[in-house]
Amino acid sequence: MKRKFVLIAGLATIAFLASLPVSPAMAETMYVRTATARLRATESPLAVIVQILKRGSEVEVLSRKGRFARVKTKQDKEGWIYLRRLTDAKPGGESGIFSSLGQAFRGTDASETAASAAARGVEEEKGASGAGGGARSSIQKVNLFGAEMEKYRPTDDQLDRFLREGKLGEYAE
Amino acid sequence: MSTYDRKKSTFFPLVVLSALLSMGVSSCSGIQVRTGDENVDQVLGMLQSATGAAEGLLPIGYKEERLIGLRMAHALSEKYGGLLKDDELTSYVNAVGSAVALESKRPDIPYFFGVLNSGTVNAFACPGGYIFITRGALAQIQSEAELAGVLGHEIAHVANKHVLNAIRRAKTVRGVTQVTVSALNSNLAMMTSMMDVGIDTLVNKGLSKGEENEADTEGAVYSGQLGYQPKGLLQFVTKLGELRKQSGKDKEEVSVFFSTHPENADRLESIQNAIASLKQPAGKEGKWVKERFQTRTAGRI
Repeated sequence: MKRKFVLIAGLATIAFLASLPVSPAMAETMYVRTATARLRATESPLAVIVQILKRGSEVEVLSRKGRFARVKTKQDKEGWIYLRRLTDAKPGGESGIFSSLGQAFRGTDASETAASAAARGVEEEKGASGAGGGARSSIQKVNLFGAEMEKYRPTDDQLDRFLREGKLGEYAE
Repeated sequence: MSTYDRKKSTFFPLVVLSALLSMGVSSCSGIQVRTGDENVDQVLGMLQSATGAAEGLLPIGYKEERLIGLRMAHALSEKYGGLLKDDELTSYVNAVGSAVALESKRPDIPYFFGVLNSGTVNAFACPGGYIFITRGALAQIQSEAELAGVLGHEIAHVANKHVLNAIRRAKTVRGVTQVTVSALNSNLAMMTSMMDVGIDTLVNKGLSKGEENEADTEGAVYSGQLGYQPKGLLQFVTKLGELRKQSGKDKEEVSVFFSTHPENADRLESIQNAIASLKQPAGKEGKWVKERFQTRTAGRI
């Protein structure tokens, strides 16, 4: 009796596995490794952008062609993405730093200012409360310096244009 | 801040030539041992974490790293000529650096690039992504691929947290169990102590040869994967060697580069090994991108 049950269970399992479509078993899950990645209609870097994905976004790789992969997003959108923007390991750790501050890697100036302020701990009154005016003045100088350093970071569009003009990254020939 | 007030040298040389690399193993914390067996790797990973804990390495989060790095960057900038006030040039250097950073092993943080108004040939990186190159170094560069290689080397130092790890290992921070932004803001002594260790590492002690080697090879790989000619960094170093011969080795503008400088041939070999390991390079042939570099820097350095 027991042996018959095992046999039936085994056959049922085989039947179930056989009923599964083959392709999903071969599908590969990858994640966006850079702050953003452009999902395009075709494998050309000049193709229409279907969606801009953020770091950590999960995609299912359907096929590969050269330096691009055809993927399906969690929102069921399909398109092509430059492979170097993807990784097979889910990005962890520090990816939350900017998302928790409400911005992506190359955000707007306003959000970057907020991020910088948070990252620098620009709480001047708090910072200076225990150390007097000298410390306050020193912190202000550091903050001004930080703002000066940080204001030249290219936006996502500027960086994309730079890569396109130089035929670099996904625009390389 | 007398720790970095030494007579001759400036800050940490970009290309303290990594020695005879040969060996693919380094003591750097950035290297992970992989066996190909997931279970074994998992155990090794746990052991590595446990070792870190046993060594008492101080955990420092990104916000804190960036705060310490910014304070270091400010201090070093003031010491060495300050930021060059040139919006066009600085934007260009930031574009090249940010593009190379896309290829780094730590692409999730922003990197900021400043040009220092100094004739000395140098570049260096502070924790948190604050990276400098001097006007003097830019004057020796003739292509974007070279600039990408130099900046890639510095990005690799940040990506591998080389200077931050020196701070984490420092005797002066022993006993500190937690570093927070508010603690750094309120505890001036702790902040100063960490800054001093970081600056001393950049200016006086230097990083280990293994760490320099790691930055060399990764810098070449980052720039190569983006589509630049990965020998850009090597070309820059070769040029410095020639400059040294012409100028005499005591000339300060270049001497800081050669204090621990292995032969270029060794470096060539190491970078070529790195180039051989390039995966998915963008495009068929690495590009030097000379014209854009010349156009964007002409008359500015």
